[in-house]
Amino acid sequence: MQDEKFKVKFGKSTAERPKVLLPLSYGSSSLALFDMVVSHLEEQCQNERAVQGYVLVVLHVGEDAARMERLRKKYSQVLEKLEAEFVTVDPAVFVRDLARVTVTEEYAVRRTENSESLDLQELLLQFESRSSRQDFWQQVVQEVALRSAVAHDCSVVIFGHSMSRLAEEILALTAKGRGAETAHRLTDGEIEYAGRRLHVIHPLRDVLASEIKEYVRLGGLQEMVATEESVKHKSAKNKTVNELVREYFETVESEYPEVISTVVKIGTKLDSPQGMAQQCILCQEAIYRDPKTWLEQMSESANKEVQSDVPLCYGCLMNLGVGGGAVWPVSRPSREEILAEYILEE
Amino acid sequence: MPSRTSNLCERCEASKAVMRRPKNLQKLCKECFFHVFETEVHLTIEKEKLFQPGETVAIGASGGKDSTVLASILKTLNERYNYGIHLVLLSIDEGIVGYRDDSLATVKRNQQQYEMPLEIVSYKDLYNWTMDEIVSCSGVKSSCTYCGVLRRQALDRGAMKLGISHVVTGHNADDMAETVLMNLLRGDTARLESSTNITTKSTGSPIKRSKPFKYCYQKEIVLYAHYKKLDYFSTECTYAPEAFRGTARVLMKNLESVRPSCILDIIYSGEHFKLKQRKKRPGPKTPALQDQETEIRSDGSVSLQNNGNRCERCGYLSTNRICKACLLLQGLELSRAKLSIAADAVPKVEEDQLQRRLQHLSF
Repeated sequence: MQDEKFKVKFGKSTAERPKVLLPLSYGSSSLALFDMVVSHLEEQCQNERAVQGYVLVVLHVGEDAARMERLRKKYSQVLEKLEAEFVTVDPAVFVRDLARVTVTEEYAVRRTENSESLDLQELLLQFESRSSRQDFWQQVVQEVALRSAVAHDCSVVIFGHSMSRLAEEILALTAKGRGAETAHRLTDGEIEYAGRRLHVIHPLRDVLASEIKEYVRLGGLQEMVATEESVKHKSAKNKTVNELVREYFETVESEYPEVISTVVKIGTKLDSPQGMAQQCILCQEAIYRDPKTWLEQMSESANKEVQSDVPLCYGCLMNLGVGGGAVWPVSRPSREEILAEYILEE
Repeated sequence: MPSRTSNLCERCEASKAVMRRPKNLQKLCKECFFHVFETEVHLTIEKEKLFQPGETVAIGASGGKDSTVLASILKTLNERYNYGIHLVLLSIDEGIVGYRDDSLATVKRNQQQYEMPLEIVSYKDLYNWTMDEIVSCSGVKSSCTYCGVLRRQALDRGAMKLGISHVVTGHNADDMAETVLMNLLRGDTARLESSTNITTKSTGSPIKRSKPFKYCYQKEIVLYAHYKKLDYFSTECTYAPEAFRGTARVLMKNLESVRPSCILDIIYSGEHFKLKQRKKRPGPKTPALQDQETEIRSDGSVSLQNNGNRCERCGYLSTNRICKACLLLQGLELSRAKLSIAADAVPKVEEDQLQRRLQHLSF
């Protein structure tokens, strides 16, 4: 049973306690989850002989280390009694093993060595559309979070995604041509990363974003929430796919309240497609059907006999665009490399 | 100031570009657009092996842009690439005054323009109901449910009458993508996996349906019809689609504006959706017992195990004893007015015609 894993332990047996990673974006959801987990641990430690059931590792991918300090201060009374680590990781660690990947006019993918040294900001700015930039940035955060899980020897990762956020992701992935990744990215269960098995859970999957907002307000957590850039004033053309989908759910929520839960529910019923898969050189996601072969059915320019050097998934191919290209990390570090190269600020 | 070359077609680099392709924003001249659009439809037909030489194919023709372009393009491609198929127009008359009667007039003109035989099947003849009567009985809200079920069967029956086993419809990429989104938004697991198939066939049915425009953008179909000056009918159905579908359409339009490829992206995603295998519950049932069991559904219909069953009433293929169309019609029959009221003396036909005459009045 999964639930047994996190139960309070008694006596001196501390050997079997799992380490749980909680990636914190300072959005309402992840802060609410943090608040809940801390009070859960506090409850576990109330008995004299009790030992908390799991060790918490709180991670923020970003540069705002000061906010983490404020958070620790706010919870200092409780945290004194608990075993918890707080880590801020600079997303720049994502940059390694850069190469240039281009898509020719015939939809063939080429890989060339790269001599430029670009930082993360410059890497992201290569993409003109905000939507593609956001797609790649999301990948950066996800990757750095999972690498940190490996580096900190965590076997469980809990994400703060609310039901609304999950519904948004399911529809956005579909619109980005990444529908096949839904099962692997958003369903609770085990994934493998750098040779390590990680158990991923979304504990807030049954709670609406509006409910979490209320929780944050009532719990006095608002001061900790990082304000997001408002997109209301932006024209539709300048919004990202995710922002458009989020807006859509906000407008239909009042009239068709069941839609969000319906989408999340059907999302959990999805499975990864069958068959041998190649790995995308940019996002490392599985490719089940060669995008060029697929595009040959309906595109004159794709219908030419040229071979690709490296596999590129459909979503990334569309992000780069025909005739486009970008410099990007083309491999994931191994477990040893993660342990060796991560300088972790404690 | 834009340079002179920027106004040239990006494909032939000889003529002046007149348009930006909605699919990839490539600048094209009229001739290149025709060529690319036709070639891409041909590629879909060829790669999916849609047609067999000698086959007679019925085009589901409504007189709207999609089916008009489909008829025109299939005629062109059939001659250019020697598919060796015979094309027939097949129209359904749902009986919607002020909409279908006008669009059927377009189909009749198309019949002459493209020199194809035309067959019209009407709801009135098949079911003894017109859509107008159904709506007055059951309300506008469920009109699409009735119409959808009845049309599906009517197309099959029309094809069967002509001895044709292949019907092509003008469903385009936008329709496909919208269906994928709607399936997600409605949690429709029964349709999720198969809704993006280019060819569909009811179990046991001799008639297959396919969608050669599966990957064609609606905007490109409109542009093709516009530049080719095709004669089509462009009024929306009087019983416009349900409100919720409208919200999904708006979302798709917005998505398309930030990511033109998004329509194809959604179809690509849709083709990859796979449901988890349902875990079989181990039960104490013996195989012998299972054979004797029949499932009785909540609506009172009885499910039958083997495929290729016939409806007890109309003889149409059905997985139940009574097919869905008969079931719907039975419900309608119960609420049909036994007598018409005298105040309703002005027939609907005249009322609608009067309304339209008033709209077109000018002073």
